[in-house]
Formats: sequence, C-alpha cells, structure tokens
Amino acid sequence: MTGTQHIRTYAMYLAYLFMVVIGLALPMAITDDFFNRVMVLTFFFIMFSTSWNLLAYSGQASLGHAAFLGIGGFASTILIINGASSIIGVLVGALASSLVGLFLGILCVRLKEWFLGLVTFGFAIIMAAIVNESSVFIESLNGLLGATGLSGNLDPHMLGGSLGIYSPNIVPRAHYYYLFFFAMVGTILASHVIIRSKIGFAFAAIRENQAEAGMMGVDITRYKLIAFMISTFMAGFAGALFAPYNYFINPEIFSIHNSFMPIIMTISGGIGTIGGPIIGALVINLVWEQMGLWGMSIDRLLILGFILVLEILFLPRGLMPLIGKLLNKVSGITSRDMPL
Amino acid sequence: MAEITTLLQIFIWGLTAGCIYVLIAVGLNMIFGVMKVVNFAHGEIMMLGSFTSFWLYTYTGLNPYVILFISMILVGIFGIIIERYGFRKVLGTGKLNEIFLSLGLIYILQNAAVKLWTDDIRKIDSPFSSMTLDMGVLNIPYDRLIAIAFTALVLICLYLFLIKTDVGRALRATSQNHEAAMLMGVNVNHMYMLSFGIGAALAAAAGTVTGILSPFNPYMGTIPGIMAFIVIIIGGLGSIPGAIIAGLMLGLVQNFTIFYFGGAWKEAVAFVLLIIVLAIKPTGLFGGER
Repeated sequence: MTGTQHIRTYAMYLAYLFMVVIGLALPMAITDDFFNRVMVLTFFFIMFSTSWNLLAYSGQASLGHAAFLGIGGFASTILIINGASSIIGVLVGALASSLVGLFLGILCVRLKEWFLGLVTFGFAIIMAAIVNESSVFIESLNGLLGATGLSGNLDPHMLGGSLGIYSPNIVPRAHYYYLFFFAMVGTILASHVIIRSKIGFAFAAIRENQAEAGMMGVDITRYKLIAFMISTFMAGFAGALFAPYNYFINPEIFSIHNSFMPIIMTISGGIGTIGGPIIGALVINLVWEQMGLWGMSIDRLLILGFILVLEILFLPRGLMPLIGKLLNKVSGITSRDMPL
Repeated sequence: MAEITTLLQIFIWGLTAGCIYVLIAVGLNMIFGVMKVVNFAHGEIMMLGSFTSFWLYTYTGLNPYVILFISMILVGIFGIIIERYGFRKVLGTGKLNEIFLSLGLIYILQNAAVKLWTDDIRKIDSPFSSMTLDMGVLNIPYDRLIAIAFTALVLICLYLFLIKTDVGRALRATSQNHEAAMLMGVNVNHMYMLSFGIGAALAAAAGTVTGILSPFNPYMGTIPGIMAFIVIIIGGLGSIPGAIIAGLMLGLVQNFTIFYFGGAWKEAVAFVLLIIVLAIKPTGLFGGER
C-alpha cells in the first residue's frame, strides 16, 4: 500500500465517521415524527441491502430475500406478542431466518445464476402463498388481532438503555431511531469485518471463479453456506426488528417488491462494495418517500423499474465509483487502484 | 375414494392448467435455448397478452379466438423490441445484469398495465362460455377443450417450424452453438429477435387462454411465471419436450393437490417437486449434462 492510498483510506474512514456523527446528531436537530420514521426505514433498508449485498458478494444473487425478512419478522412478532422480551424475539427471529437460509443454501449450493435466481424467487412467492392461504396459521398463533395481521411492540431500549444517549429530552420516537441506527452500524461493521476477513476472500474467490477457488483449496460448499447463513441472519434480524417496530406484519412482507428493493438499492449504490448498499438505500429510500409525499403510488413503482433498467444499461457499477472519484480528488489520487 | 367422474374432471382441469404452463414454459425455454437468457418478466409478458386481447375484444367485439392470433402477433413484436433494445444491450456483460434487467421489466410492465387498464379484475367473455360438451356424467366446457386443442396445435406448428424450415434449422443451430451457427452464415442477432418474438407470442397465447378461462388483473402473471420457471427446471433448461411433459405434470399434480389437500398447497407442492428434482437430478428430467 502506498502513502497516497493510505490517505485515501483515511479519507474513506473519515467519511464514514462523519456519517456516524451526523446520524447521531440528526434526531436532536430534527424532531419531526415523519422524518424520524423515514430515517428508521432508511436504516432498515441499509441493513437489508447490506445483507443482500453480502450474499451477492459470494456470487449468489438472491431474488427472494423478502422470504428471510418475513421469517424473521413473523418469528419475532409472534414471540413478542406471546410475552417474550424484545431481545429474545429479535434474536430468535434472526436465528430462525438463518436456519431456513441454511436449508435453502443446502438446496442451492450446486446452483448458479439463473437457477439460484429462480429458486430463491420462487421460494419467497411460495412462503407468501403458504402464509397467505393458511390464515389458520396466523390466527392460531395469536388471539389478539384479526386475520389481517399480527402486531407486537418492540422495546426501543432493548439493545442499550444504558448507552446514555436516551434521555428524557429526546422525543420517544427518537429512541427507535437510535435502536435502528446502532443495529445498522452493527450490521455494516459486521459486513465490513467479514468482507475483509479470510471468509470474505473466499467469497470473492468463489464469485470470480468457482473452479479456480476450488483448486486453490477453498471449501466451496462450506463458504457458500456460510454466506447464506450470515446474510439470512442479517435479513432476518432486520425483519425481526422492523415488524414489531412497525406494529404490523402480514404476508405482504414476502412481496416481490420487498425482494427487489435491496437489489435496486444495492445496484444503485454499487454491487459488491461496502458503501454501495448504504448510499443506494439512502438515495433510493429518500427518493421513494419523496415521491410518496408527491402523491405518487403506481408511478413511483414504474419509475423504480425505469431506474433499475437504466442503471443496468448505463450505470452498471452504481454511484459508488462516482463517489470513489470524488474521494480520489479530495485525497489527491489519480489512480483507480484502491477498491472501496 | 373419490368418484371416477370427479377424478376425470380434475384431470381435465389439470390438463388445461398444464397447457397454460406449457405455452409459457416452451417460450421461456426457447429464449433460453437460443440466447441463454432467462426472462424473469415472462409472466408479465403473458399478462400483457391477456390485456391486449381484452382491449382488442372490448373495442372490436371479435371472437376471442380470432383476437388470440392478433394478440400473439402484437405481443410478439413487443417481445422483439424488448430483446433488441433491452436484453441485447446487456448480453455477455454477466448473467446478473440480465437477471436485474428482467426484474426492472417486471416493475415497468406490471405498473404500466395498472396505469393503462387499472387493477380492476377483468374477464374476456367467450361465445362458448355457457356451452359444455355433455359426456353423460361429465360436462366439459368447450373453452377448456379448445385450450387443450389449441396448445396441441401450437406445439405441432412449432415442431414443424423447427424441424422442417430453414429458419427453424438456423434457430436450432444457434441454440446448439451460436458461434458455429454464425460461421455457417446464420444471422445470430435475427435468431435472438425471432426466439424472443416466438416466446412472447406463446406467452400472449397463454395469457389470452387464461383470460378466457378465468378473471385476471395486472398482477396475474407472477405466479404462472414462477410456475413456468419451475417447469423448465424440472423439465431441464433448454429442453422443449421436457417443458411439455413437466408442464402438464405440474398442472395435474397441482389440481389433484388442491382436491386432496386444499388450495393452500397449490404453490407449495410445485416447490416440493422442484426440491425433489434438484436433489436427485439438478439438470432436470430431460436436461443434458451441464
């Protein structure tokens, strides 16, 4: 690593630090409830996209990631309704999702690209169909609400009431903001550590050339399953946090839209980078919410479709390379040899 | 043990459902064979077929079975446009880009259809809708018989086209080895457009038949689309006979499952079949080594 690259790396870390500080300060500056909710949604989507991105990093693109969101969400909501503490509910939800992920991973370990896409896509649809058509399943698990959905209540202080940030001067909604903010930072850090570790190198090796990776002694099956388990754990975790926060869950959570959002977000940011899902989820979610404020419902879905198609055709590496260029300018590097 | 007439009725209903799967899956498979692209938006093209027919039917009042052919041509042309200005651009830049492009198309087609035709539930009325073939104990609606006969006709025509004509031979050659086909003077780009056109036309046929048999809205394409994917995996990617057998099989299995276990398991059983096939023979029942 050359000296200038160090500067570049520091610039990147500084940028991240800057974002964390801004993230921490925001709810003190803006106390608007709607803003709060949009930010929670953004953090949720960053977690979800990061989870999808990690699986894609190992060369496995899931087209049905909503399945794991839903499993985590349903599991945690059902547990919390039935009196489990929030932290137990969320952890069990994430674990349940990870277990199903392992099962699907075993099924998909020999599949690539299209095959994998077909199976994961179908899996989410089938999960939705099963939950949708067996309302018996929902009703038997809770006597609290009608057949339309479950609801639970998430304890906003479950992760760290003792962190000192929660104070009476902050509006109660902001407690959820910090909960999701820390969960998001944790997810991103985990993703960062994994991608930079030996496991991450194995993922990249498998993605680039599976046969070569195998010859070099990478246990392909093992690492593919690890990717599936970590990614589905993160997706389940995001769902397990969001569903009880949202106070509502129904089979809609398995919708194709929820499966495609992390894909669109990650591609918008830059697939296979740590920053990609962050930037992508931030931009797409804010644009999405703004379009909602303008009263668009079908139109924004249509626009989302056009965004995805145009990006694939004209900007397949997303916004990240553009930000990379900006960072290069700031740190005075002209080469593009440092991956983000 | 259910009565034999009930079983026969389930069989006929399963066969029509299977025919629709076959029409979508054969088109999907043909595109895959020639271009090595799986179009995830194929169910949405089928939906477009339903609405094109519905729209033509509302404005012209022609017999839906005449409209069926017009709709096939129109949607076929639309398929060619998608190939030329969409998939062609990303061909060879990585499989993921092709997948993501078709996801974008799902969004565009579905929501454009909602914009154009609203998401009300529609139905194409067939002049034969109240007529049934009386077989003593069992009444079979003419529409279902026509659906089965039509599928058979389409498959025979497709077979003759692929085997007997020069263009069909060129199409098969491209499917086997597109570089060799190119060296033999086949215009591969034309073959790509042709295969996409035929695939879209078949999907439009499936959509129209579905629209005659049952009500639909702009979201109707998703589940049949998935089922067609499952059919081509079970049958073997690229194998047209495999798609036909697997499609009919899936239609029958699903309808018997509904009868014995209830509607909730209709989609689940397809997935179970898929798991079994993937576990035993990942290349599909009729797929070669890959």
